[in-house]
Amino acid sequence: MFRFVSKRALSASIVIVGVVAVIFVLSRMVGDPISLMVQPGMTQADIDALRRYWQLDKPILEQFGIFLSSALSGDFGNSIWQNVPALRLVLQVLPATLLLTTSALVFAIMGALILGSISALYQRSVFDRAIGAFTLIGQSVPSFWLALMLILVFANHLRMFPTGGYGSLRHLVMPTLALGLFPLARLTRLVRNGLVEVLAQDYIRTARSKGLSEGVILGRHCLRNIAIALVTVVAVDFGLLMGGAVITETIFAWPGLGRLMIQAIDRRDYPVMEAGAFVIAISVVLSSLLADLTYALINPKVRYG
Amino acid sequence: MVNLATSAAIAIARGGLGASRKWRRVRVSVVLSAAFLAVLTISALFAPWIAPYNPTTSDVLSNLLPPFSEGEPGSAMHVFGTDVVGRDVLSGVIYGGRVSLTIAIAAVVGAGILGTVLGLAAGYLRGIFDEIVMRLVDVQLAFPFIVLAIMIMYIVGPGLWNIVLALVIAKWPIYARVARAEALWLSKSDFVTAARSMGAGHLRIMFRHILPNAFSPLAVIAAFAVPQMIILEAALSFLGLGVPPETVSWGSMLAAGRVTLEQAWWIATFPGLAIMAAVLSINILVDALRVKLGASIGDQ
Repeated sequence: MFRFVSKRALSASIVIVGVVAVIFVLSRMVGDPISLMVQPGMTQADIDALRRYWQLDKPILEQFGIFLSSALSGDFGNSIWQNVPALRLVLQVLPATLLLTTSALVFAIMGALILGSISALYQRSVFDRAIGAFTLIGQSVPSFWLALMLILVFANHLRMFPTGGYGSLRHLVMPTLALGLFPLARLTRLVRNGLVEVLAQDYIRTARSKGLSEGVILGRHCLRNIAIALVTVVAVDFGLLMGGAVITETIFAWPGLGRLMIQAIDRRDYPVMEAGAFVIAISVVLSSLLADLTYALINPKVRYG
Repeated sequence: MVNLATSAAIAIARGGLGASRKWRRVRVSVVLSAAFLAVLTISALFAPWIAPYNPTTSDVLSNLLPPFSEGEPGSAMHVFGTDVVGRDVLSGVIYGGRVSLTIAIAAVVGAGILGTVLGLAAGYLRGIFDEIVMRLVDVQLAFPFIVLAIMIMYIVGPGLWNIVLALVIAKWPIYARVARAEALWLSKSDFVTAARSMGAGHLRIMFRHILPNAFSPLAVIAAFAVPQMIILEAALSFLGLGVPPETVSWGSMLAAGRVTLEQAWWIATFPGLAIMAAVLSINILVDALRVKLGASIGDQ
């Protein structure tokens, strides 16, 4: 187990350094932030001073060297626009994004367990068919369009929820729905198909003939067996959610990492872009690392070399 | 990480998004999907003859008309209404479909070819090339691809083929992973050894012997990727990073409709419905095909 963990951790850190390098290259290609800062009346000397101050006059390789060594110690430099440490800006908005993604994920998992179980226990019933149709449609709705429709119906017409913003539980409802529908639909299908397979097994018949209640059978014998598939897909979906949060946050004016990144890209604010991408990459890598470990824990047959 | 995510990808390709054989009442939905896609394709191909209006011609006097408004005497009805400068929304949806479908298909083909070639080479050649390609894949998958696509669009600027480029760069890794996994075990099979002993070169083995055997899962992934690409294109255009301003696409219409959401619900609603219907139809159809061909595609 220790060898497995350290091996995974090593490959995870290689990935993170790679991400930092890609970000550095891409962000330098996006454009020159100084040209956006130039005010009327500035002389060339002022502009050069700005450029020197941000160390943008050095050769690109040297800039990367400076960048990498300080990035590894958690220092991404100051935001070019707000002149405070970029990582601090990112960490300030991170809780909002984590709140949104976690809430969407919990919504999706709970919903999927309920809908998937109903669907599997009452196969070929009206419920099963309705839920089946729902999972197909749920995987076909673009989240940003769903967000607009939710705003249209629940904010503009029914006035049940605010159109956007952050702060209360009511602000969280619509972004969660918009972001969580796709994983909900996907996981429901997974739970349902997994349960159908498990329910047909001999040991379920044995458990039933022992007189165990349906609840115990479902909870202890069935769900545990589909947990592996669930963990894998949830880990993959977490990365998707971090990406989906970018657009959802923009629409709902949710003050999270996605919105910060979009602003930073807009302003060519390299340090914030880099710190943001770094944090996103770390969370995605960690979630798949976690999935690997959970996978090994749940299923003793899995042995990693 | 690599193994887990690859097996998840293959499982999804084989298990599909759609109904398993036990859970299927697809007859009607398959027919409807095929019919809708046929209509969509025909209207995309013959948009200039089918659309009632030019989607970019504005007519400020008849702006923000609700659906089913009469046009000016002698012209067609605005079935889906008009937008803020009086452009016909139905015509926009028809022309937008043309743009969105073209981009999606081109991006899938591009990403499929790039990923397959790199993946096949990685799995067959192994060694340092394999390491480089797979680390690249890992790095890219750690990166939400919308962020990557946004940055690429900022670099290359708006434009039809630039979107295709961004989508290809953002989406090739999945093909690389699957192609590599297939190449890894196929290159140990007897027929490859036989081909090699008969003097076949690397390129010939890779493309004449391994590729045909690895083709089915790749084709399924590609087919399921078309709707994803439609949504991604719409997302980029929605953020104002996709098609150039004067081009109509489903995503750019959504972005325009977002601004007037409160006064005019129809501008954002119909392009969104078009996206959903297209994505749903393709998913249903591909899934039915996959089940039909199940025996050959499912398990090798």
